[in-house]
This record gives sequence, C-alpha cells and structure tokens, in this order.
Amino acid sequence: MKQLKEFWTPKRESRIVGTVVVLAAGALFLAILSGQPAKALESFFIQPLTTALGWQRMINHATVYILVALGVCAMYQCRQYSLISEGSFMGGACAATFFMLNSNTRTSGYVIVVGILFAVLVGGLIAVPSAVLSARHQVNVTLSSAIVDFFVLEMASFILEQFLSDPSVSTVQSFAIPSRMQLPYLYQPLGIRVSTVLALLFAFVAWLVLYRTRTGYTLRMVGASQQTAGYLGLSSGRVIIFSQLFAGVMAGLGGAVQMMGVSSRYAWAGEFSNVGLIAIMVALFADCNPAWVPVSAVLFSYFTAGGTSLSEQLGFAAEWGGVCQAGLVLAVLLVSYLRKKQRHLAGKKGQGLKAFWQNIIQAPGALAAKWKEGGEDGTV
Amino acid sequence: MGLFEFVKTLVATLVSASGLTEFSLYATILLLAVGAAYLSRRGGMFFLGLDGVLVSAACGAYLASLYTTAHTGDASGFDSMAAGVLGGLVAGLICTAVQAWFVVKVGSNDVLMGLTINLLVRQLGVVAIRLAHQHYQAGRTLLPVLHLGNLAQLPVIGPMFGDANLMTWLSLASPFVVYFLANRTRVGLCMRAAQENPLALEGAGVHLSVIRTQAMLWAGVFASLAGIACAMGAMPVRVQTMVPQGFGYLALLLVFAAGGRLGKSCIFALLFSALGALPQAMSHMPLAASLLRCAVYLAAFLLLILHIYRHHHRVHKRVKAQKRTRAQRKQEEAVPRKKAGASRRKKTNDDM
Repeated sequence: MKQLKEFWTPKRESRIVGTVVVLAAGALFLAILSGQPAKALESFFIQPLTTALGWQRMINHATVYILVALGVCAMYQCRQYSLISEGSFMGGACAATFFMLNSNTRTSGYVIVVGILFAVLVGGLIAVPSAVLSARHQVNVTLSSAIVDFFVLEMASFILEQFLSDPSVSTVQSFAIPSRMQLPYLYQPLGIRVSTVLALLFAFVAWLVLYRTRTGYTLRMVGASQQTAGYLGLSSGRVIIFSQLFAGVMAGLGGAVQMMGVSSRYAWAGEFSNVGLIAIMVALFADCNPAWVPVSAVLFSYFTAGGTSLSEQLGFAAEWGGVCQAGLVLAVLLVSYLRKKQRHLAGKKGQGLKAFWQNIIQAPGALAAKWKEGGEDGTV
Repeated sequence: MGLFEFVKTLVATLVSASGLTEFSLYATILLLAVGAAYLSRRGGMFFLGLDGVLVSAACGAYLASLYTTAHTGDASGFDSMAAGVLGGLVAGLICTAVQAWFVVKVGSNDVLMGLTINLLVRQLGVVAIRLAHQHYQAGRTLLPVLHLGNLAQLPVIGPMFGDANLMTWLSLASPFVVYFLANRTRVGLCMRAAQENPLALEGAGVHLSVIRTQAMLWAGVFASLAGIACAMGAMPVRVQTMVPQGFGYLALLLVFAAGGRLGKSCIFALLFSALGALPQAMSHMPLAASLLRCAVYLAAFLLLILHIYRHHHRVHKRVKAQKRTRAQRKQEEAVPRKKAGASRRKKTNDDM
C-alpha cells in the first residue's frame, strides 16, 4: 500500500487520468464521425492489441520513438526547446536510404553498419548550426531549428526527386529497399528486431547517465540555471551544444532504423514525417525521464498503429492517431491545471484524486443550489 | 547558362505577369502573418502556434464555404464566400484562444504548447477535410477580385494588382493598421509595456494576463485572415490542410530577424515573398522547385545570422562609444584639476 502511495505521485496521476480522458474522448468522437461506430472502435482500439500485425506495427514505431525521444529528453532537460529532431530524423532517413540504394553490391552487414553510421553523422551535422547559434549567440533555438527543419525537408525532397525516385510508382517514392538490408529479427511474430532491444538498452543507459553520472548532473544543472552553472565553473555553451548534437545523432539513428525495417521506401516528398515531433511529445509525456520513455513510446505508437489500422479497414484518415497523440499532451496539461486549481480552491494541499472527482461529481448540484439561492434573492 | 544569363532570366521571370501575380499571392499571406507575429511579440508572447492558427483558419474557411455551397446552392457565390470568411475567423480565433488560455492562464510553456497545437490542428485539419470530401464534392470558393481604378494598367507592376482580391488589399493596409493598433491605442501601448516592462504594467493596475490574452487574440485575427487568404486565394495549396507549410515559422523568424521592428519586418516579408514566388514562376525552367524552396529557407537562416552579427556589431559599437565618452569625461575633469593644482602651487610659492 505504501509503495502504491509512493508510486501515485500527482504527475503520474495526471498522466493516467489524461490518458483515460483521451481514450474516452477519442472513442466518443470516432464513434460519431466514422459512421460505423463498432467497426471503427474495433479497428482503432482493439486491433493493434489483438493482431500480430498490430503488435508488429506498435513495436516498430515504438522503437523509433524511443530512440528519437531519448535525444529529446537530454536536450529538453537542458532547457533547449529545439525542434531539430524532426530535421535530423528526416536527414538520417534520407541519408540511410541513399546509401543503401547505392550500395547494392556490398554485403548486408557492411551496408547496415555503415548506413547507420552515415545516418548518425548526417543527423548530428544537421543539429550543428542551430546548436552553435543558440550556445554562442543566444539565438532563439526553436526558430532556428524550425528553419533548419524546413531546409532539410526541401533538400531531402530534392534528393528523392532527382536521385531516388522510382518511376514505376504513381506517387513520388524511393526505390524499394532490399529486404536483406533490414535489421535482423529477434522474434518475428511480434516484430521485435535487434533495434528494439538496443533502444531499450539505450533508454537504460540514458537514464543511468542522466541521473547517476556527473555528465547528466551537469546537463540538468545547465537546464536548471545557466548562470549558476557558470558560477560552478561549468561551460554551459559546451553542454548546450552537446545536448543538441546528441539529440541530432539519436534522431539520425532513429531515421536509419525507420528505413531498415519500418518503412520499405522513403516517401516523404515535401511533407514532414512528424516522427520527430511525436517523439518530442513522447519525451514530454515521460517528463523527459528516459526510464519512462519506453512506456510513453508504446502508448503513442498504439495510437499510430490504431490510425493505420483505421485507415486500412474503413478508409478513415490515419491522422486520427496523431489527433489523439496531441490531445494526450493537452489532456495531461488540463488535468494538472484542474487538479492544482481544485487544491487551491479547497485550500488544502495534497488532496488526492478522490476529492478531485468528488468535486467534479458534486459540481452540478452545488451550481444548482447556488442558482436557487441567488434566484430567491433575485441576485443571479 | 552563364551566371549573368541566369540572373537576367531570374529578374525577367520575377517581373513577368505570372511572377508578379505569384508575388502578390505570397505577399498577401506573409504580410498578414508578419502582422500577427509582430503583435504577439509586442505583447511579450512567443506565438509558435501561429502556423496552427493559419491551418485552422484555412480549414475553417474551406469547410464553411464548402458546406454553404452544398446546402444553399449559392449561385452568386456571395454566401459561401461570407461563410468562408466567417468560418475562418471563428476557427482561427478559437485556436488562438485555446493557446492563449493554456499559456497565459494554465502557465504552460509557450514553445511546447505551440508545437502541440500545430501538430493537433494539422492532423485534425486532414481528418476534417477528408470527412467533408466523403459527403461533398471538393471545390474552393475564391475571394472576389477587386479592381481599384486603373492600377492594373500600370507599367511593370500592373499585373500585381490585376488579380488582387479583397485580402490582398487588406494585407497592403495591414502594416498601417498594425502600426496604429500598436502605437496609437491604449491596448497597443499596454501591449508594449507588457513586453518591455511587465512589472510597471502590473504596478499601474493593469492585468498582465488580460493584456497578453488580448495581444494573442489580435494576433489571431491577423493570422486568421492570412489563413483565409490561403484557402480562398488563388494560390495552389495542398488539399490536405489548405496551407503551404512553414508560413507561420517564417513570419516569426522575419519579425525576430528584424529586431521586432514593424517596417523592417514588412520589407523582409516582401523580399521573402519574391523568393517564395520563384518556384511557381520558374516552373518552365529546368530547375527543381524543391531546390528553389530550399533557397528560401537558406536565405531565412542567413538573415538570422546577419541579424546576430548586426546586433553584436551594434553592441560592440555602443560599448566603444561609452568607453570613448568616459575617457573624454576623465580628460575634461583632469584639465581643471591640473589648472587648480598649478594655481595652488603658485599661491604657496608666493606665500613662502
């Protein structure tokens, strides 16, 4: 019981309640909008959990989200609100595709290893300009990284159209990546590849580094207060650049993993993949703690897999998954705010979920009583 | 093709009729978006969700006009146009109000909130438009073209006004409206204080949160107009969200690079409209459109770097000037002291 109380912190509580709210609201709106409520709800909520394909999709997406979100965690713990993960992800994916399609004569092992290294390098390089500008010249990192993202998007589209495009496909897509260049499976029925295990390992290492080593403490210290970090003799500029480079590298790695098993072709011509942006939300939902990133990634990938399934079964827009993902972050914020407000109104700190729900349930009755009182006095 | 030939063709394309028309379409959206970014900055807010407001307004305008056309028949096209403008404004303002509430009232991080709203609105827009297309036939209602006098017959720049619609004229007036709002009204001056000295504003008995919300809502009005111009203008857009990607971010960057000055921001907006019009205007040339669009973002990044170096240069110059003034003052103070010392010495000598 004590352990449960320790686990049930306000932050976790708001996340759990937010998830429940989004699941309920998502189900309600989907039932209304789809026209076929039962089938829509089944394909969005049930199929990702009950079919092998659903699990494969979920695990594949979660692997990529974990890798990209780990970089975001380090960057956001350092209070660098950069959007570079999207650009680095797309750059890494494009670089890996380019390399794989141009190395058909090489052995699989060579292509996979060098392809990953190439993607990581490209992802890191993409993060350099905005990192340097923010660290050395205090430029708004969000804006500069967003512009770099758009530049990368157009450059990747140019490379796709000019060098990778498959003329036999109706839309602009790259040639299919040979299956021998995909990462090997560890357990095929669930789609668990080497990358999944590596992602979990990375999450553990990232948690260890961030919370149990001097490097991690430095990173969090700079995030808490750059000035104090400076007084302690820490080079905040170097730490800021490192955190953003790390995010770029991890996003590049995520891009390579995406092209080595999740997607069979590079197909983002002139539009963002949104993987980098969703990974930011994964990190935010996990409170930028690498230990919780895998759980958060599975939840977000559940929505992605649900959206894909919905699109295949009913022709409903797969973007419904994205709506739920963004709604999840908003719901958590809303629940935290309501909880805080409720505590403020009650004047008692530490009131739990029970009081919160009690107040919500009693609210209409209280309002009606107030209305009645006011009505009698004629003051409403 | 040599470099000189290329530049010549580039200029010729830009001042051609199609080039100028494209330019006016881009300038319409960018000028309005820059107005929105400027107003939010004035209120001390970082309006990252500007892109989301553009998308929501565009989707709202498109869906409202589509619905009206389908249900009323609307032979004249006026009803669907009015419904589109109204729908766009309502959708854009709702999106802005949600953001403002979360940032100002709830106290959420403005960057993260903007990012979340942008993603939510883009995805929701795709879902809504696809659902609408299942029931109604796709089709855009365009804003009416307004011919003011003989402006279209003017040499060189005439074609720019040939297809100018209601929103184009409104965007031309927008810098003046924004200037008036920010500098000549009570709300504008409060917004300025909210950016420059929030404590003083609170001390004067004005609610900072109210002023910031007002700033966001005013910005939302301009952003919504930009979104409506996207959906109901003649610009080719992606059917999924009715808005080309990146206008919101670009507008924010232009205001940032202009150091928060309205005039400079508008000049940058016009320059970037010319750059943005290039891919469409040069579609007949053997150049990839994506490469030309790359140039727009590269130019934006270079502008950012230029702004930083100008800022540093200005700071450096100010420090130098301060040092010089201090040295001069020291010199001026030293001369009378020397004179006083000399006279005192003379006096003691005389006494002795």
